[in-house]
Amino acid sequence: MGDIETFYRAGKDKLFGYLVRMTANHDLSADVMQESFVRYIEHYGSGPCQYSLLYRIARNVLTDHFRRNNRFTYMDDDVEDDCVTPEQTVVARDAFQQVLNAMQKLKPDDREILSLAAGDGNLSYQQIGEITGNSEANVKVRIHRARLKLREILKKGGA
Amino acid sequence: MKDELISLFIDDELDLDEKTVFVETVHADPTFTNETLALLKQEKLLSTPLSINRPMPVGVTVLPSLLKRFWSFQIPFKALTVGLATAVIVIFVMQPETLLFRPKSQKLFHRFVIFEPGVQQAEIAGSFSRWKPVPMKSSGRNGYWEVTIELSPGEYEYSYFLDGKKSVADPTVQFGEEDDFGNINSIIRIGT
Repeated sequence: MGDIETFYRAGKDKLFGYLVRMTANHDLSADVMQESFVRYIEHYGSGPCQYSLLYRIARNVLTDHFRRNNRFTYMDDDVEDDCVTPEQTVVARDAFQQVLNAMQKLKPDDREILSLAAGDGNLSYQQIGEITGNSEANVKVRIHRARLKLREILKKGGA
Repeated sequence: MKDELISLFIDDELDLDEKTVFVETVHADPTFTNETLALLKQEKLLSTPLSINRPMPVGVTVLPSLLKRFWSFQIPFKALTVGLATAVIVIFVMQPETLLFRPKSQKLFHRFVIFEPGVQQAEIAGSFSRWKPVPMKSSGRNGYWEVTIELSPGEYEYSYFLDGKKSVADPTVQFGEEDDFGNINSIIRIGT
């Protein structure tokens, strides 16, 4: 159980970050994060800890949620406060909210690959390929294209 | 394509040859440099650090998946599995303190102790008390403060408060998390 606990502590913020970038919804991300760990521990807790597997489970939990709610995009305006570090200024929070809103305007595939790639200590292209079922070469191309699309949305003030 | 080098650079995925091309292009092409800076700025925003203060799910056991895995064996092995599973159940039932069969509502007593000889008052507050301070009792003149609290199995965050103001994490507990005020709260798991 000690390994799982270390795995949880090391992985929960990263997975939460991925889910916030995917959904722009703090509460939903927190619930999906926890549900993903529950499923992981139940089914794979006795084996070696694998982030790729955890993220695949999180994708499935999220997909289930969106299917139940008949939509993929799920936004709220309350991403700040609880989830943003205290050091951040209000301006930085607004800018983050803006980029999150722009993310929700991307196609789901683009949003997902950018959500996986972003973050401190981000996943490697190989891991992203394992999670999304794409080759590393494909991940390389798709990430850059998605970044350019996000930039276009932000340029147009589309957030 | 050179443009993709920007994302490879952002994501630390450049090999040595690509690094050379990337640096040469940055030197030779201001448009490429500006594009790199713009995408770096965008990525920094998108990578804004986030943290979530939820405890690890408790009461989850890996036993079902292990049984499921054994159950997929051939028939002769299934018979053996059933026998083993029965034996395991008997052992657990005979030891009611075992985690798997302990009712979730069972309360446990936990003694919190801190060594703080220089203070006049010590309190503990945590998720178990909805962060309401609980007075600790001084155990004589040896500097120890203690309190025993009845808790349900689970994970709890807490901190000690000295002389009504200073927040101190439990030095005997390995795990802790920073709260919104920069204080470190200790994290303890009870009965799991």
